[in-house]
Amino acid sequence: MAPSRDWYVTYNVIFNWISAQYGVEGLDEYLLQITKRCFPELIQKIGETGLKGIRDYYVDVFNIDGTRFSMKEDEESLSFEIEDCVDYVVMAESDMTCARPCPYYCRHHEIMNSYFAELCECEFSMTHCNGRGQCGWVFRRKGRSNL
Amino acid sequence: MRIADFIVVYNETFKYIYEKDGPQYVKALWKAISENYCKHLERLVEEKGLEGMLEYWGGALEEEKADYSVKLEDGVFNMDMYACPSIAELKLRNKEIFGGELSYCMHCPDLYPPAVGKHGYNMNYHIEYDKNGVCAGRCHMRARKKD
Repeated sequence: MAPSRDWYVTYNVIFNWISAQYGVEGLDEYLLQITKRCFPELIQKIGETGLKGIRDYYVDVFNIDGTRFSMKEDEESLSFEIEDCVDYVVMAESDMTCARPCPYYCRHHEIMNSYFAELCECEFSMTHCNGRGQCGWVFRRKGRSNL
Repeated sequence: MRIADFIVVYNETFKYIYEKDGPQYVKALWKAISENYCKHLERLVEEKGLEGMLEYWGGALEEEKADYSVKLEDGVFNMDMYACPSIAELKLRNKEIFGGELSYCMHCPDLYPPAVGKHGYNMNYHIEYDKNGVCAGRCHMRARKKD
C-alpha cells in the first residue's frame, strides 16, 4: 500500500494521548512493547548482525522517508546526525493544531534505539535533540569509551 | 517508526490499549483521533458538504492505492471498499488483526461519523468479516444530510 505522510500527524496524536493518559513512563512502556511487537524480523536481524543491522535499517528508512542525515561508523560505534527529520518537516507543513509536535514525540527514537542497542550488547545515547527535527544518535559497544 | 509501519503500529496500539485497559480506552483513543485528526475532513464537509466527502475519500483512498469506489447519488455519498489496503498490509506482514469485541475496522466508524455529524450529516458503515470473524477488508459507507 502507499503510505500517507499525514500518518506522522496521527503518530503525534497517539503519542500525545498515551502520554496524557499514562504519563511519560506509560508512553515509554507503550513504545517498548510496540517496538517488540511490530518489528520481530528487524529484532532478529539486529540480534544476528549487530550494528550493521541497525545501520542498514536506518539508512533504508531515512532514504525512503526522506530524512536528511549523515552517518559515521567504525568497529565500535555507529553515529547518525539527523539534519532534517521528515516527521517534523511534515508536521511543520500541516495547518492542523494536532500537528504541533508532542513534547515527547522523540522518545520513540530513544526507546526503540535503546532496545535495539541492547540486542547487540551496545548502548544508545541521544547526544542532542532540539525537538524540532535535528538530533544526534550514538550506538556504542558497551564498555568502550568515546575517547 | 517508519511511515510504512504505521498500519502495523496502529493495529498493535489498539491491541495494547485493549489488553491494558479494555474497550473503553480504545474507544477513547479513537475519539481523540477523530477530534484532532479529522479537521481536514470537517473543513471539506463544512465548505462543500457531500462533495467534500467525495474529495476527501477520493483523495485519501487514491493516495493509499485502495480498491474502492466513491460516488454521489441521489443526495447520498457512497463509499464501497473492496480491498482495504490496511487489512491487506496486515495480512501481508502476517500480523494478527485486532478483533473480538472491537476490531481494527471499527476505528473508521468511530473516527468519521462523529466528524461529519458536527456539520449535519449522518454516516453509517457496514463492515464485512470473514467466517472467522476477522476484518475482511471490505466495507460500505453511506452518508446523507440529516433530516
